This record gives sequence, C-alpha cells and structure tokens, in this order.
Amino acid sequence: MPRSVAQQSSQALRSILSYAVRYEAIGSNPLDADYVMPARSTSVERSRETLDVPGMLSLWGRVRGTWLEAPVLAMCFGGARVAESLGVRAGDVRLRRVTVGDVEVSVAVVFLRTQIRGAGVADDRLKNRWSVRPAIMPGSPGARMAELAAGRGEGWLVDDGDGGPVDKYALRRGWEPIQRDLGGLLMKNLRASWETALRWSLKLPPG
Amino acid sequence: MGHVPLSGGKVTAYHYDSPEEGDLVRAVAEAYAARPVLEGTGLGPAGIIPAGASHPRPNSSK
Repeated sequence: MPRSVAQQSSQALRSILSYAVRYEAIGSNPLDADYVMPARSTSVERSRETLDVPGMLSLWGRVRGTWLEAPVLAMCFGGARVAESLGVRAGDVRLRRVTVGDVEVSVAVVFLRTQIRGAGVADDRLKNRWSVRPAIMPGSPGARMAELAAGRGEGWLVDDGDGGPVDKYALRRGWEPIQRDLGGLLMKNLRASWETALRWSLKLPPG
Repeated sequence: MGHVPLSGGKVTAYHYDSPEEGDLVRAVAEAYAARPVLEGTGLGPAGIIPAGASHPRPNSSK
C-alpha cells in the first residue's frame, strides 16, 4: 500500500472511530496510536534516453549467452515491456520464414500474453486489453529467439531454476551493471529503442 | 499494413492465429528485407538468406 493511501485510510478510520469513543462504545481510539507507515516511495525513474541500432546490437553482444539474453531480445527487438519480457513461454515463440523477392527473411512471432509481477507472480492481464499481441522480431534477433526457445518445451523461456518464472527483482539486479555502463539507461527504454528503430530504421510506424 | 502494434490503440482485436498476424509478419519481413539493419553481427543465426538456400546450422549458445 502506498504511503499516501495508508495515511488517508488512517485519517478516515480515526474520524469514524472517534464517534465510537464519543458514544462510549470503545474506550479509546485505536487509530490514535502511532503506526509504522509504508516508506515514502521514490519517484518513478523517467528518462527519454534510448539506444540506436548499433547500441542495441552492442547490448545484445554483451548479454549473449547469459540468462538476460532472451528478455533483452524481447524488449530490444520485439518491443516487449519489462514484465512481459519475463512472461514468455518457449511455446509462445514461433519462427516464420518469409520469402521476399530473392531472399528469405526469418521472423520470430513471440506471443505476449503474460507478465511477471513483483516477486514472480504470473499474471495474464497485461497493461491494457490491446497489450496481448504478437511481437514480431525480424532477422537475426528473431532467429536467435527461436533458437533459445527450441527444446525448452512449454516452460518459461527464462526460469528461476525451479521451473518458475524469473522475477523482476532478479532482472533488475542483472540489469544494474549494464545500466551503469550505459549511462543510466532505463531497462524499460529498450522498448522505446525498438519503437524508434522500427520507425526510423525500418520505416515501419509503430502503433 | 499501416503500423506495427506495440501497445494497442489502433488495433482493437488481435489474436494469435488471426489473419492479421500474417499481414504483420509479411510487412515486417518486407521492411527488413529492404533494410536488414540487424544482420552481420555474428550474434545469432543469419536472419536473411538467399531464397531456396538451406539454412546454416544455428549457432549454439555459450
């Protein structure tokens, strides 16, 4: 519970219970006691910093082969939100090969339908009703995503070692050293980086 | 194909196997074929190859 909500609730209950005290239903107002309130929340980190395409590829090189690779790929080359990047099951990844003229392009379709909240709680409700969507990952990152998913059955693409999903706190801890090296880049801005690459490098306006 | 849905708003109903997904895949593939900006890094399997060529064995993860 946020601190402000706790304080408002406390004040409302104190007012209500003051009537009980006045009419001698109770001896004293329990809300007069000092309660430990939730810590004051820090403001949400905000930044417009994003990576350009070379920066995104450099980031991929850094996380390649680590457990961070799949979520970073999903965010950086598929536009997944942070919590969505942890909620991908191996079965949600399919590889398509599309012939365009004289070339064949690999495209991974990653179905985003689950997010991992807090300490590893899988939630099938995403941010809004449009958020359940296929993330389309073209080219080498998409092929790699499919490679990572191959052979993992229906389990989480990244798991905690016990078959459960990795929680956001672990992801944040894994991201911290990278964030320091990238001048404080926020993990959530990887999605914005992909949006920018789609619009300006691939000339595909994101919706 | 007007846009790629990232967060919703323009797409009101999207389903995993809906026909729209095929349109989306093709639109992204065509855009990527014209501008393969993520290739040549050696980080993952080749994402674009000549049509009809066999796919090289995927790289193994570290």
